[in-house]
Amino acid sequence: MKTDKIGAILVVGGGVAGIQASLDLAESGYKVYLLEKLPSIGGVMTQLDKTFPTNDCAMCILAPKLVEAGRHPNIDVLTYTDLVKLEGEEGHFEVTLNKRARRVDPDKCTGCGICAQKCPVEAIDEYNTGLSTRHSIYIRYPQAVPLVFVIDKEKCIGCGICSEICKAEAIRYDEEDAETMLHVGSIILAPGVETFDPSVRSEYGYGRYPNVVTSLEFERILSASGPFVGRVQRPSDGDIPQKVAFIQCVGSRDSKRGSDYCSSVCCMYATKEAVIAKEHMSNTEPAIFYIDMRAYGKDFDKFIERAKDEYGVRFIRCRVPKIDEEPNTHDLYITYCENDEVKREKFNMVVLSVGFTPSDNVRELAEKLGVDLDENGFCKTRPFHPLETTRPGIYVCGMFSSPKDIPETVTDASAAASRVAEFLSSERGTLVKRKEYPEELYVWGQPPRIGVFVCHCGINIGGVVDVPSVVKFAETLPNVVHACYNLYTCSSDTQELIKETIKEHNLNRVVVASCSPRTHEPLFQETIREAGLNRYLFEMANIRDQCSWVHMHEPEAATQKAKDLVEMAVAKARMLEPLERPKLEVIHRGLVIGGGLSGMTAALSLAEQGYETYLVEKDEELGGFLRRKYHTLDNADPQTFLRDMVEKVKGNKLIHVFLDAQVEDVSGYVGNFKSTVVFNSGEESKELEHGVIVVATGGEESKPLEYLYGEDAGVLTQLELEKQLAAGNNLDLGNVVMIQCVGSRDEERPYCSRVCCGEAINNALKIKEIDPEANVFILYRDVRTYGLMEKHYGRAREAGVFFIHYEEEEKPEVTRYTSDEGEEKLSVSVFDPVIGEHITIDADLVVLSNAIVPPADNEPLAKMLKVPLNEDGFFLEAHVKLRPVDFATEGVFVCGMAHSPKLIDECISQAKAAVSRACTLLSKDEIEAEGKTATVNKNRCTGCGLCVLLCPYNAVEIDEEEKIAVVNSAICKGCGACSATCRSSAIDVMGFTDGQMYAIINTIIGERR
Amino acid sequence: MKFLGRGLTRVIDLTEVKGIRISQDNIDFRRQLMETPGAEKLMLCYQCGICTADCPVAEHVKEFRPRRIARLAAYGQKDRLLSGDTLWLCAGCYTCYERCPEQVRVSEIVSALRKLALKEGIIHPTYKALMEGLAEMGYIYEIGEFENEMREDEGLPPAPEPDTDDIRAIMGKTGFLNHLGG
Repeated sequence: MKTDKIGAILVVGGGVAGIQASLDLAESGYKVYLLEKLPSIGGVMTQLDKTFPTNDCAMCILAPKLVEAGRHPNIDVLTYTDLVKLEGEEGHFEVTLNKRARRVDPDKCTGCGICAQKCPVEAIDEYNTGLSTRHSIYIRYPQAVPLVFVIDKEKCIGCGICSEICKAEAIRYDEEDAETMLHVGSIILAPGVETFDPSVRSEYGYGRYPNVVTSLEFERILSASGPFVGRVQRPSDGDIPQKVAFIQCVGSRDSKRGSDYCSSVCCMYATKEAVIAKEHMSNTEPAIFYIDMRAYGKDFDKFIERAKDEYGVRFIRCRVPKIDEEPNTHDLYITYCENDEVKREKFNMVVLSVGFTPSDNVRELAEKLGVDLDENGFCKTRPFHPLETTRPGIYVCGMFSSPKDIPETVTDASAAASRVAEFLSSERGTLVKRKEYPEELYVWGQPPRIGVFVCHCGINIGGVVDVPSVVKFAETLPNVVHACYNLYTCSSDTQELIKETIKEHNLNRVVVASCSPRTHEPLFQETIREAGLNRYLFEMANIRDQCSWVHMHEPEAATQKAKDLVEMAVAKARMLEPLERPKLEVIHRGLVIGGGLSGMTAALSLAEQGYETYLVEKDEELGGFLRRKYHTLDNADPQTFLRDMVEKVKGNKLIHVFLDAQVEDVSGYVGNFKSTVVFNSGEESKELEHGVIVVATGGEESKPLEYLYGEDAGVLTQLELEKQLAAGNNLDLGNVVMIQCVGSRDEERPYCSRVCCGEAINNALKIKEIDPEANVFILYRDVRTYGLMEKHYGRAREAGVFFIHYEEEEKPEVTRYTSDEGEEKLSVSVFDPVIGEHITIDADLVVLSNAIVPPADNEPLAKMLKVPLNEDGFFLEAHVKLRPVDFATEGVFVCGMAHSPKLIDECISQAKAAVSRACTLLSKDEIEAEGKTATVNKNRCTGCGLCVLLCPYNAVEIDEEEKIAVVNSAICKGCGACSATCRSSAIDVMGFTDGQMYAIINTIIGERR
Repeated sequence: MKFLGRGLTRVIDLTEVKGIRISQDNIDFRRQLMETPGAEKLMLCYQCGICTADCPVAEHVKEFRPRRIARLAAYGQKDRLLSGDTLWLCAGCYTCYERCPEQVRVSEIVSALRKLALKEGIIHPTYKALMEGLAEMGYIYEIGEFENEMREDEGLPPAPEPDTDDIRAIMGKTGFLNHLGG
């Protein structure tokens, strides 16, 4: 038997989870094979129009990751490929794959698409959920990675047109499927799930009524790249629907049909779709029919409130029994009850919010791999081990383990990568290639030769701006030697085109007129660098976000503005100079702030991967919140788990634990931080040097001010009750009344604390276990047992736990009274809107589900680390969807309750994810810093020190000898505060010099006008 | 509610706002109900409203709301449920049974409640009249020449003479006979 491990990983599934896991591992020194059964990667996220709660364009945020995965030297993207067989075991698996015949040579195909234009066959376009057609030779979507066409064998008639027309001679009609073999050390499963097929529920008429569509179909209808190019219209007649209904829980929360789980994201995506439909057509009247509004995520409740208040979305609490169609008009009737009144209402279109279900393919895959599934077909995992399948060496992430949203999926993916890296760390770097760049072309002193690439962006830009005329105009600008337009400038074929054009025309400056540099500048910079140009010889004009989107009703003016923007960019490009990116050494040590579950998980994961770690905890003991958890919904024992974990942390030589301690000062920058740790005991403070920081400061319990808490011994919080139940204290368990959302979802704290519904059910079940005769009442606003937690909600009801809904306006009241026997008693009164009556319960115990709040010291810490907090005081990540554990400040990461309230397994996953992200830095000996930094003109600087005061990053110092300002370019973020304030114009930000800015301004207000 | 008859003391409008103070009696009644076949899954209801929204009786009778019946049953509201005639309005079409995602079986809960009502000696006069007909004639409605002619057209023999003794014996064994007037 072989004992060597293999430093390569197979990632099964090329959706956002698979991509993230692959990128993390590839960046941390491992070889990755990314397997995808479809012809291109990207998964379901590529089909989404926008993402909640920020309404970011899904494709716009995903595309850079697709391209990055597609071009990463350590990732082999194996599309159109199936897993056949798995042999071997953890450390050295042998995988047999079947590469289906694509019939187009990937090395030759340029993705030009002429073949598809000429193909006479029409087939159903799966990407557009069957709402449009594609050809027999096709790509899934315009930005597809890899951008290689594929011939649909089933549909192809073999006419030979594509073969004749293909200039690249890429067509291979006779290609056969081919088996290949891989050797890998670990496997990550990210196969995703399918949407529920609603035709099973015939009462909704899906498949019979043309205007009943699924939510995924509606995403395509909303999308600018969809079948109706973003025009919201009815499939039956193309009319714009005024009244649109959304029906929730189609294929979810339906134990009758075997899906006794919640699909976790439908409440939010339906609200998002309603809001976007309203944005597209202001006279749209969306209505959402739901059971419980599950807006449990970060900033989700605020999104729902905005949908109600700003967009007028109607929310109706009723599960819809059926849809009737008026055959002549194809309008639809929905019967529902609102406040017990039975109503029948006409809608022009109905969207079914379909849930998720593991596909047959995935079941087959699991069988081949020998991993167990649960009764619903989701991948089985153990409590406290959310990433491990039942087979050692095979890990799971994303929807396959439970229905979840994009950020949790991305978090899971990074966490699975971390889990793999813990095991394979000895093989790090053994199988990877370093990216080699060509030597930089020398451009100093040469006259500018500018190339301008204008993006059509589907209709995003081209639908408003006259792109060809912008190109024509660009050609007339001085120093522009080449200008052209592209359908999608960000697609991988265009990257190749840009590189070729640079060579062909000897370009030494490149301008792209497309979208935001925030998302796309690094991609284009990388492209020109690969072509031999310094990455800073690049300039971007944002003719989408700042032009076509905001002036969509004035195409002529927008075209003129686009020309102006391009002219400005060219004016600046003319003056661009190559910039150096300072190389920074990386200290291979980590600092974890917070010694709770998340902090300890992070520290252990760092240590497992071979990195020395400092763990700072403000309490005298490790464990944080977890110390107060005694039982969980899945019957696990948190205290044993915690004890083991603390032992592991204390016993690990690479982890240095500082208890009763706090981080007082942090300086330095990514790869090179210096921190001061002070001890409450007065012990001498310690100076630490480390390359990364993981923030895991956790959350705290709010102290209820209402419901007689603190005044009556019979009023407890859930955690207090949990402790008493665990201690076996003889509680008087007659009538127990639990009140949800105490201090959450109100004006002061407009967020959901996420864990309380599960926690209440957890305690309620425990009570029923101890004393089946006890009566437990849970007063709730929405039961938010998302995902697989829904089963426990069912278990609680089965056990007889009584759930009573209350509205925010009619909160329960807790009063004390003296009974006839002279006893002081508690009584809870609540208005049950289902029957419209007040219910009074004599309570022996009142239990409050109080809010999770951020610790007060988040604020000073955030300032110290220069990272933001959200309105509620939790740390705000770099991007809510795709960078859930990163900060905009490099080298600093967040996990656990510091980010937002979350469950134990979610904390574990997030902590490992933060480590995975951190290891993409720690695994390198040096990293490159930003090149656009401030620079001081020594001759002009008076040493006044204003810039020192203003720099938010502490990057400027006064050189005491020379009495001038000096900028530390490794810390400088190029924000420009110093430059703007300097009275003697001594500071310039490279890439934004005064000269360059004046050139831009003069273009518009100077010489020309 | 026009068809008030013997055995029913008053018309209870279940939509009338009352206010409930949960007592041990309520809890006991709920338990008794849940031990009655058909009502075992009462507590699984999460009040999604699908039963009421699709109830053909609810569409026409504002007092009849399947969800309200299930809810009041969960609150153990024995008097309000048993002594009104709302309970007897259910047509037994089983639409709610079919729709309910949690298999609460509201129609069965209604049947269970009717059983408990019967135990209390409460029976709706219409049902009573039907059952009396059954006990006397062996059919719940009279089979005459017209019906037999129709049977003949379809090639069926005339309806057999029922054995009312057997039927009464069964009714006697189940105790049902005691509820029927002399």
